[in-house]
Amino acid sequence: MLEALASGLIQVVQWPTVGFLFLGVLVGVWLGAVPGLGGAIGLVIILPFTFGMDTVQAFALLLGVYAVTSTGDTIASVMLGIPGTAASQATILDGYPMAMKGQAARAFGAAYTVSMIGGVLGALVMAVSLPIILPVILAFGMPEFFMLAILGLAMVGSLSGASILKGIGAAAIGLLFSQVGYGHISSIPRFHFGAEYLLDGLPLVPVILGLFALPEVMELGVRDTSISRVPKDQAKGGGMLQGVRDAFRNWWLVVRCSAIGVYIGMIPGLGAAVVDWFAYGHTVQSAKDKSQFGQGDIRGVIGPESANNAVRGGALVPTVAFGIPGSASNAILLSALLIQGLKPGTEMLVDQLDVTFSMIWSIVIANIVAAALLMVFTTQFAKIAFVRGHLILPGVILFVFMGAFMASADIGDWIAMLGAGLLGIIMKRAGWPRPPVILAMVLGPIMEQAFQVSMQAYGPAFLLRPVSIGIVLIVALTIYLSARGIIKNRFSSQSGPEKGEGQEKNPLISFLVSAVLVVVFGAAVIMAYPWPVSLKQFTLVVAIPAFFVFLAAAWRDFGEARSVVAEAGGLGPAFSVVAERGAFRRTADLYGWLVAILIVGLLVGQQIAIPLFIALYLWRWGEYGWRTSLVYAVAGWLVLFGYYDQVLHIAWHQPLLLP
Amino acid sequence: MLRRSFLFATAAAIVAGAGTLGAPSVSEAGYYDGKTITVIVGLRAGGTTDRFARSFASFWQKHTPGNPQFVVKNMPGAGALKATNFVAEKAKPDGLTVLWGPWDPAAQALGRKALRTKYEDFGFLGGTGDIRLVYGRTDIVGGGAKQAIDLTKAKGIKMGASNPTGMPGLLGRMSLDVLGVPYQFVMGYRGGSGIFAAMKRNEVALGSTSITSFRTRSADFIKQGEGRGYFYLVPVAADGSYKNIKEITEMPSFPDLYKQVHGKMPSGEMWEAFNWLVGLVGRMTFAGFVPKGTPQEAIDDLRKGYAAGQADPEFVAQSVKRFGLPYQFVSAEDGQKTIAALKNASPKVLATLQQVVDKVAK
Repeated sequence: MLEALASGLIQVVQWPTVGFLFLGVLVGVWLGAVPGLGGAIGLVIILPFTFGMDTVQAFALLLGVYAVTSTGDTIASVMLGIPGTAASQATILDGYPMAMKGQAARAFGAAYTVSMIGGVLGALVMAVSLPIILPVILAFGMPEFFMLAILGLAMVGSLSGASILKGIGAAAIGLLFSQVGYGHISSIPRFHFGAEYLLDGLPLVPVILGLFALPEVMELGVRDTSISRVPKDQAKGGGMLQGVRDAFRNWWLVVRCSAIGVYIGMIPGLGAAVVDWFAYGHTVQSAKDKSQFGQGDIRGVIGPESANNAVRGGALVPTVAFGIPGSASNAILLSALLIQGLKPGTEMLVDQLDVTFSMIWSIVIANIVAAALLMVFTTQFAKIAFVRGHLILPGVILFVFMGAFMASADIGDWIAMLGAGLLGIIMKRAGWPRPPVILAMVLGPIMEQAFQVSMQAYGPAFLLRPVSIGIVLIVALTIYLSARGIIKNRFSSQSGPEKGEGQEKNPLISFLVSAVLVVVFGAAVIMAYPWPVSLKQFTLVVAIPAFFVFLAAAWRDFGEARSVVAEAGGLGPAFSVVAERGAFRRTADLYGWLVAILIVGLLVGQQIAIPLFIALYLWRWGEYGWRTSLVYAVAGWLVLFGYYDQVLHIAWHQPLLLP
Repeated sequence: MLRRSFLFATAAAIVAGAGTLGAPSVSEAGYYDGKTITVIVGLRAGGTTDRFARSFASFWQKHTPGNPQFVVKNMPGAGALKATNFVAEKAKPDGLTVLWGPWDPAAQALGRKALRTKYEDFGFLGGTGDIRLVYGRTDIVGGGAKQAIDLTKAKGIKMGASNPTGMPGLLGRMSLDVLGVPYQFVMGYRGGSGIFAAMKRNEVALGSTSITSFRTRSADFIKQGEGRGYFYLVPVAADGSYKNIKEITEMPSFPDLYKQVHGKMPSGEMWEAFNWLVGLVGRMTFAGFVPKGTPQEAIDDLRKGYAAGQADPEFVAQSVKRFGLPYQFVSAEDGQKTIAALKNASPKVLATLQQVVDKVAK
């Protein structure tokens, strides 16, 4: 075994293998950093290049990409509050508030350090676990998948915001979104309202970008502020080295969260989606002082970032050892394995053990290189937090719009993103947490599948399996501890000027949201009722309880809203206060500009609409001169043409007015 | 539903072609000089079909006159029907968009609304046959299934599938119905790897897959004795003759197993419907199409490339090395006949097929 370990290392550090590994790392970091891209796309791009390569070289290149996208996506999570992938959402809860406090460099320092440690630990645990982990993986069947997904939603619902009711409600919104399109078993479409675009489901990326990116980026324009609300010279304790020290000071948390990452990651199909929430939940629940979570607590970055790199090593275990890929990225890696003529299973653990170890070494080295590389540029990245928001907004809007369009190359992607953006703005203002929506969208199909299979294979008794019961108890404990924490914080918390996710308090708006959701979910129940059982089963399991959750939320909001109205001296004045505080008019104005991108894109093409927006925005909103506006717009067009058109060969929407 | 991102598609866009840079070209000038062909695959990236498409694309490119660049895009959805509809309704008939992947004769024969075109309306380029089989755990009977016939002694076995109308599940169920093996059908798994995972953890005992997946993904499972192949499917001619595949020695063909169990050849309405379906997809599992109206010159060049690519000694050697047998090529003439046979399905066959679907599609 030691011989194979050494042989694996030697093979990876040899030239040109190590060169391929570095190339993979560069691609992985880039794909992680650009919103809307992700690890799987890089693997698909690279896969054909590996057909004729030596096995170890091929995997060095592929694993270089695979291992580090979740290191690269910290940039968007911290600077913009956009989760690079669904598995990196938890980082935004504390990372983004840190950037707003001028501590982005500290968040990066900690995130890269723990990503590296987590990634390395993940790979090493993978090496140790490979021969012995089969019984653990096999203990998780569909019933356990279902219960674990519930646990994931309970974690995110109860941790990302100031109200468990709203957290669970937000998760229900995501689950309802996941019900759009063809049923899981039946080929009858649900909730598509005649739109062909929705037949195959609501795509995730436009919704993520709309829900998170648009509200945060628009805030920069509307309030004419930088990402950091604190001027550079007043930002305290924000250095990168401080973050590195934070990481080492919390070494035990890093180890625990890495272990969570690697072992949860081993559960095929589920682990990667929920692991950062499990890690975040564990971080919060094991902390003595919980008051700063959600406001920019460095431990809120350390926990999930340790886990989301460790998960990569864990997720490789079922792929390599059993030929069971747990995600799209792993399916592509399995494909590469088979193309190379390798067979997952004992062959990889006995005859080809040196190849398996070379894969592990590739992950180890990739994580170290990526962290070191990003550390070098951290100070530069962090400076962006102090740049005027008007200069940042156009560039981010370009990548956000194009990231959304990459989902299915249909103009519907932009409509979905703008719709989700509106929802995101309202949820943010109403104090409804957004992360549960996304996690539930990701978990929805998995839960529906697990629920339907469990019901067929075991009947309702699936809930009584020992592991299921254990998870139910953890769910109950999670909700109890979170509720206790929330109640405690209500009396003791000293929130900063910038509120964290789901922390804004606007009972008037919140009541309207609750009331609309009562109607939406009521309508969903009515629409679903006549469907065939296999089609409506899970929809009703979600929509009926959610209806009552929203009813309860509406009732509570109504009580609070009544006090607000009474305090303001009437409904009109109360709304005026809320509208002024939330800068509703300017927000609506800017949202209109974004809708204009869609309309102009439809008429004369996307490659004209986005640069036009950039130029006009800088001139009108940012009050920059025509020269700056023009140069920025031309640079935007070059990105659209050079990268999206020439490199990615994107299929642009055919404009109505131009040939 | 988590939509497989077009990202894959676009990524894959740079792909097959990029991966085949440097392949020797067919130097004949032709319709495709300097052009790029997008091959749309209706299944997700990383699966068996996608892997085959990417491997084959380089050989197809190599032998297509004009040496066009081939770019593979994934457009998964509705069991490959989304991609089929896309190519039929939206792709320009300029020969630059090709649909490749599994075809679904049952969807057309039963008039499923999810398929909004007819296969005969496409330009047909060539097909590839893959052998389907039923495999499963060996602990379905006490002492373990030592031979395929032990399957018939099993009680209360569960067969996993993705959905009620998908070809693997449909063939698997109908084969057990014909054989007279009672089973419970558990639907909802995501593709063959999901069913394999469920089989490993003993959630289901049986599944239907292709010989290529059986010999790669499940190789270790079989080698360890945890699982085995129970039978593979071959079409039976009207006179009762059929041809076993000599390269498959680890399990009997379905007709052989049936005769071993019942002492005669199968018969009856279920058998007729099952054999009709096996005849269609067994003969041609994957096929390449272009939209209606594509210039004949383009179709001819693509057919030529397809046929020569399938016969390329390197491609054949790769298949034999990986799976132990070559893929079966279906010529344009044979493929078109197979598709035309859809129209000739007897009402009894279609009614039986519909009953099988309805039985579980509640």
